[in-house]
Amino acid sequence: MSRPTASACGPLTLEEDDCRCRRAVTRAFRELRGCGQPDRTAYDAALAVFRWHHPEASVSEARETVAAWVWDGVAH
Amino acid sequence: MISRLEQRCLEKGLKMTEQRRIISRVLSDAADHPDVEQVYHRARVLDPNISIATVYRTIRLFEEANVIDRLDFGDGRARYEENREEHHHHLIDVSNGEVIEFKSEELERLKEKIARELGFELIGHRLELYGVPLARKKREDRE
Repeated sequence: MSRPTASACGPLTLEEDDCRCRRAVTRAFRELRGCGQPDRTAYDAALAVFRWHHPEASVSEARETVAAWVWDGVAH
Repeated sequence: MISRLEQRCLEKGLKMTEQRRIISRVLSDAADHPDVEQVYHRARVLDPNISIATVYRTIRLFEEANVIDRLDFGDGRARYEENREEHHHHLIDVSNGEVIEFKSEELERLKEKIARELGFELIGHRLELYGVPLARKKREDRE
């Protein structure tokens, strides 16, 4: 899949709560869970959405951020 | 009149006792996604002698026969629905997270063909597509 060459959301910091892609990430997770898809499948999809918006983020940064947003976040 | 689910059980060669018939009717009539406890309570209305153990065993049997689907809504309880054979996949719009369900007979045939060519009988698969709307992509390419 082609991706933006730079982040569409600006620099990522793990503390940042208002990243513009957060809504897309949590939506993908929520909608797949709503279809009865397993937690892991929905998380992987949310991760793919995040990685498209933040190609500059490392894999571990991406995993950590998405996990925080979909499992620990409040803005679902 | 027998329920759709009972009919499918019979087609799969399952022996249908009266209690299995009742449980199949409860699942077939459900408009929601009941868990085992809910199935048990609904079945008890039709037959007060049904035990929770029978419901567990029957649901496991139906699941193994692939006539019901186990769903996971993340609340720690397995829920069930009749397998309506409406197999579909998901396309995820990465730009906004929207999940679009789709079906493709061509894709189903292709998956069967690939498995067969590799010497396998296909028993399951998972597929998610990721994409961006073409209109958005063209706009970004121009910018």
